[in-house]
Parts: sequence; C-alpha cells; structure tokens
Amino acid sequence: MNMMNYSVQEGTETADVTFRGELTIRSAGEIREILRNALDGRRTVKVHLEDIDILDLPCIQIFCAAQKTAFATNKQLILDAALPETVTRVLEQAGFYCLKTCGHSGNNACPMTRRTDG
Amino acid sequence: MNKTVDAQSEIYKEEARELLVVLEDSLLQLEGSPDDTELIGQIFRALHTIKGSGSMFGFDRIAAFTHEVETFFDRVRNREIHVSKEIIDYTLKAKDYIKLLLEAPTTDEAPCEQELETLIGYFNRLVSEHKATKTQNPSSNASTTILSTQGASLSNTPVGLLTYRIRFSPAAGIFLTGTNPLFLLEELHALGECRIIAQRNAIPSLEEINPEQCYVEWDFILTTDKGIDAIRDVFIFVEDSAETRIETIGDPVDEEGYKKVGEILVERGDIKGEDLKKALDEQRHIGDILVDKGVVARDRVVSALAEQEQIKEVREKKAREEAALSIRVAAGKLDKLVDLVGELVTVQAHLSQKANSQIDPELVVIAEEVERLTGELRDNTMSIRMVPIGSTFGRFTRLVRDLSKELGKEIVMTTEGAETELDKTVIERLSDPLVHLIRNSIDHGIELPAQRESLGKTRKGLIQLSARHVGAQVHIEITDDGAGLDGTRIREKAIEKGLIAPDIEISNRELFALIFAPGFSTAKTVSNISGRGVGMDVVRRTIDALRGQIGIESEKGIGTTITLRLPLTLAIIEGLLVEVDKDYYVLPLSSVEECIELDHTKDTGREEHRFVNLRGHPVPYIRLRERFDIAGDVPDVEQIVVTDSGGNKIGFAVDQVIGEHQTVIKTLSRVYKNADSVSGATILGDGTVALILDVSKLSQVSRSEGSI
Repeated sequence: MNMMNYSVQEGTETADVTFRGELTIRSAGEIREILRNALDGRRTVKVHLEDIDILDLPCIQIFCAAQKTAFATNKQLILDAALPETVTRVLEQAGFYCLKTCGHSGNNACPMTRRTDG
Repeated sequence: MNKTVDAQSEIYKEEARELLVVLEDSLLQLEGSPDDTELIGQIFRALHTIKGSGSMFGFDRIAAFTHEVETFFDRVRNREIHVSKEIIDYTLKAKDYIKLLLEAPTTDEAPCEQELETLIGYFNRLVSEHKATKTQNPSSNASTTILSTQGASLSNTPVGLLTYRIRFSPAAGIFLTGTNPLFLLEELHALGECRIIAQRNAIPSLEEINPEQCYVEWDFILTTDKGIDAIRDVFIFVEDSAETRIETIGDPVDEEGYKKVGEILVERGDIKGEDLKKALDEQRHIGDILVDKGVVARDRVVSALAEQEQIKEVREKKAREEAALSIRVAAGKLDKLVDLVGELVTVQAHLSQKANSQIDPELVVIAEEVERLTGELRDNTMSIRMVPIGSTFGRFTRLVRDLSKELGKEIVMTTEGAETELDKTVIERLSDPLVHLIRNSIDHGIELPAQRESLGKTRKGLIQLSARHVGAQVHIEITDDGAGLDGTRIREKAIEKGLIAPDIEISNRELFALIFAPGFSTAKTVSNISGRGVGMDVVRRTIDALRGQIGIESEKGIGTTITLRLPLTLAIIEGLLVEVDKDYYVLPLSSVEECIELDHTKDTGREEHRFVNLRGHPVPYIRLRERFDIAGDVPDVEQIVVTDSGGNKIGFAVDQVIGEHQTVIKTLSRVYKNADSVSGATILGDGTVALILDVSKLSQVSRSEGSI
C-alpha cells in the first residue's frame, strides 16, 4: 500500500500543496487539516494531484468542501495540473464531472470539473 | 389529390392500422394488469402518434377525435384516473371508431355520429369529474405527479429499452459500514447508457465537514433494457443505509422535444410549480434563474439537463437504428420479385438440364454454381414475405373478450408460437377461418360458468391458439376445453341430410369431417354468432384454397382441437410430379399419402366404379387421362397416387410417378379462370408446363358428376 504523503510550499499570498500516493478515507481527516491550514491567511492555494494513485469518495468530498470554503471567503483553490487517468475515470464514473460550474465555485471552474461549460 | 399525397395517405393508413393493433393489444393486456405503467405508456404513445400523424396527413377527423382520447389517457398516464373495466371498454370502442374513421372516405360525413358523441361525452365527463375532484383536493397536483414504477411488474423478463431516473441518497454513515458507493455506480454503468450527476450541495465547508460522513447523493439517468429489477438488484445491499427512488421517464413521445428543464425539476420534486411559474416570467435560461434565486442547487439543474440530453440521444439513436433496421416496401414489388425469381428458377433448371446433357465439365460447374445461387436467392426472397402469425393471434383476444361477455361466459385465451412465420398471403387469408372457428368454440364449445362448475370444470373456459412449424408446413391448433363434439348428433344429422347411409360405419375422424359440409349444423338454436351452418364449409374451402388441410379431434365433455395444416408459402409448392402420356401434373405433396400400383392384368378392383382395394378398404380413384381427355391407351400398370382431402381418401390414376418436385407456382391467366381443378402451373427445366392439381376441387367435381 502506498500511503498518502504530501508537501507544502508556502508563500505569503499563495501556497502549493502536493499530494502523493493513496488519498483514502484513512487520510481524509489529515487532508482536511492540510487544506484548512493552507487556506488560512492566503488568497490562493494550488493543489497538485498528478502523483496520486487513488482518490476515494471521502477525499473527493474534502476537496469539494475546500472549494466551497475558498469561494465563501473570496479565495481561490486551483487544481494546478492534470489528474492521472485512473483518477479522472473514477471522477467521471462518480458523476463529479458536470456540464456547468458547480454552485460551490461561483463562475470559476471547479477543480473537479473538466468541462466548464456544456 | 395528387399521387404523392395519395401515397403519403396510404403510408399513414398503414401505420395507423399497425398502431391500432398495438393499441388494442395493450388495452387488453392492461385489463389484466391495470397498474402496468409501461402498457399505459404504450397506449398513450399509440394515440399520440395516430393523432399527430393524422393531423400532418390531413386526417383531421381522426386527429380531433384521437385528441380527446389522448387527453383522457394523459390523465390515466399521470395516475390521476385509475384504469377500470369500463375505461377499457370505452377505449376499445374508441379504437374501433378510429378504425372506422380511417377506412371511411375522407369526403363523407363522420360515420356513426351518435357513437362519436357517446364516446367524446364519456371521456370528457371523466376528465371533468377528475378536475372537480382535484379542485376539492388541491394536494393532488397534476404537475407533480410522476410515473413511478414502484407498483410495476416485478418480472425479471427483459423489457424494451426504457430510461429510468434514479436518485440514490446514501445515509451519512454509509462509509462506516464499509460500503463504497462508487462500486454501485460501476454496476449501474454496466446496465446500459448511464449519466451520473453527483449532487454536492450538502457538502459543508472545511470547518464543518466530518471526513467519515457521506454528504453526496446521486442522480442517474439510465437507459437500459434490463428492467427495473436489475436496477433494484444493484442497490439491494444498501437498502438499510440508503434511500433509492427509481422512476421510469422514457421512452417519451413528444416529437417536438423532451420535457423542459423546469418540468423535470417540478416532476422530481426539486422545485414547486409556483417557483417555476415565477421563473418563467423572466426571459432567461430557466436553470440560471432558478439557481440565482436560490430555489434549486446548480447540481439539480445539471442533472435535469443531463436527463434531457440522454433522452435526446436515446431517441436519435433509436430513430437511426429503426431507419437502418427496416424499410417499408410495397407488397406488389415483393410479388414482382417472387415472379422474377420464379422465372430465374425455371431458366436455371433449363440450364442445368442442358449442361448435364453436354460433355463440358466447365459448363456443368457453372450450372451448379448458378443452381446454388438461385436456390439461395429463392429462399431469401420467400423469407422476405414471411411474417409472424402473432399479430393475427392478437386480434382474437378482443374477439374472445367481447363474445364471451356477450354470451355471459368466462373465457381465457392463451397463445403459443406467435413468432411462427407464414407467408403474408396465407396469414391474410387465414384470418376469417380462424375467426369462425374461434366463434364456434365460444358459442358451442365453452359452457356457461355455472354449467362448467356443475361438471367439475373451472368456471373459466380455455381457448388455446398455437402455431408451430412441422417440416414445410405450419400447424395451427385451436383447442378448447368445452363440451366437445357430439358424435351421435352429428351422425343423426348426417343421416338426415343424406350425407351418409344409416347403416354405414365410419371413424370419428370421418364423422367429424362432415361438419364441414355445406349447411351442416347440429345447433338447436341459431344465434347471431353461429349455428346457421354456413361457416364451416367456407372455412374448409378457404383452407383448401390455401392448399392446407383441417383435422378435428374431439372428446365429448372434454374439448375439441382443430388443426389447420398449411404450407409455409403459396409461392412455392412441394409437389409430386406425375406423367400421363406426355403431359405432366403436380399433386401437392401435403395431400399425398402413398402411391400404389394398379395392375390391370390382375386387377380385382371394381373398375366400373373406379375403386381400388387399399389394404381391404375401397378407395375411389380418378383417372387423369379421362379427366383431361388425354388420348392414348391406358398402360397395363397404372400408378395410383392416394391423397387425403378433408378426411376422405381419393386416388389419382397416372401413367408414371416421376418424383418429388419443389417449384415456384405460376398463376394461370384469366383464360383458365373456369378450370376449377387446376390451382396453377409450373414450368419444368426443359420448358414443359406442368399443371398443379387442386385435389379437393377435383374430388368434389368428380363426386358431383357421379364419376366416383
């Protein structure tokens, strides 16, 4: 099993958070704390998921919650690179790709949204 | 009316007739399962198409009348009016009236205006009664009524392609039970074309979220032919930790477009009717307005849009498939094709004969190849004319229902082998004889419910129609569990009519065959259904004309089975080729029982009465040489082809039996219209014409002339 690990590059305005390995329910609580800390006091958080192996539903929910929090506090949560194909497929099958931007992100593209307009 | 309009009208009429058959069939099925939403949907769609196309092709009376019935059935579809026997009765009458309008000349006044008024009055009354009930009970809001399939059949039988709307709401603690909802989604994907929209609205902020709780629910738009049970099976293990709502939404009928986003949201219960009305007053995309107003979450709108898109795609795909799967061809063109193939078969036979008489191996190979291809072409051409008998069977459900009601009887009709295929012409001509036989079964066969009970039978009588292929024939059986034929009474009546001598002993088979004699009836009373004795001889004549035979098996008090044995096609005949002098004749193989020799050098038969001794039984025979005035002497040894015609054996004396012969039938020109005993002709490989004999007619003519 390839446990989740992460790294954070902190700046004054932005933070770059990179996750690796398996993002499952075991690490969902930890991911929540990492994102909460990253958003705290910064306008933009860039999330890097290109090296993750698994993204399960509890973790997808955490990223949606982070998006919602960022939007509500006039901040930005940006998915900075393409997701691995396996993760993309999971998101697609689970209905997290939608035709329009979701309500949590206003008119900005949601990190979980591949197509921004139907 | 110009030719194009004529052709279009004919296409409409043809389609409308098919739809009326579907309509009647669905109504009769609905009577047995009044909650079946799929059947209700089928009925509504049939009405909708009849109306829509009628209006397009100028059948305004049909469009106007069907509109009334459709409006009424829309209420039934929305579960606002419940299906009753009375509703089925009236809708069947409406179907009959549409048929009447369809066949009536468009220039005439509307036929049976009184019937029209009665029907429209009935449907309008039910609709207005419903409206009144709705006003008293505002909670029954039509716009929020949806076609739930909760009460639908639990059958696992695959149904047609349907689209379902599924909302899956897992309990918050589902992760703690070890269930991964994403696996369920994979299973749904495997069932068919599926769109999934995750509803994320309930996901809280990072501060509030509990990572071990599920906040998402899903909307699925699934198009599948696997049936609702297959969908339920996917969710079977999460029944206690999730709520699942499954609704049937397609195959929608509105050609102008599927439901609007607002309608879908109201139907799903995501918004209220009044919210929709308010939003409609603004001139923007309805989804955007509703989201901006905070009436509905964006994901819900996205889901409704996905539903629209899926239905559109499914409909387009279906239209493409239907267009590719079948084309409508005029029957006349098919007949012409069969004629041409017949010509080709003849030319091919000629070629084969020539090739075999030449010493040219290359020519023989070519002839064999042409023979193979011609055979394939012939079989394929014939198969195009084949249609399943099911549609004909379907018509009798109504007949049984109406007649049994009229006579106070309780009858169930079952069918078997509806998929059995027969030549289109055979099926068309078979309808009337079958109607007659079924009417007889209902009127004379099946007893009244009380009488059946007193005899230890079930109250409900049974009529079974079955069809199956037996070699090159199709056997159709009409079986009832009624009173059976009364052999004694038939015998008495036959003696009274002079059909048999009082002292003659005949088998049950021969005795029962007498009911096909003209004017023969044992019925004590004549009803408007049967009993005049004018039908069974017509049945016999029609079946004879189809080169078929009828058999009867019956046991008093137990029931009767009438078997019709018919050729698969009228275009090809399996015959026995015989020769008299230099002329050739074909006898339908289905009538032939055996061939025996008639040796005049030691003949002990009664030559003057034309009888031959067949294992101790005298069998009358007709000498074709004399029948057709063929010159020349009778050979010392003749061949007698013994045939069976309606239970009677009769022989045909010929010079030589050549053998079995399968050939394409050529109809005779009008010059030969009085040649009763010949049903057609065929051309042999060397170009010689062989006449196809009508065994039944030949024996009838000979009997009436007293020559046998």
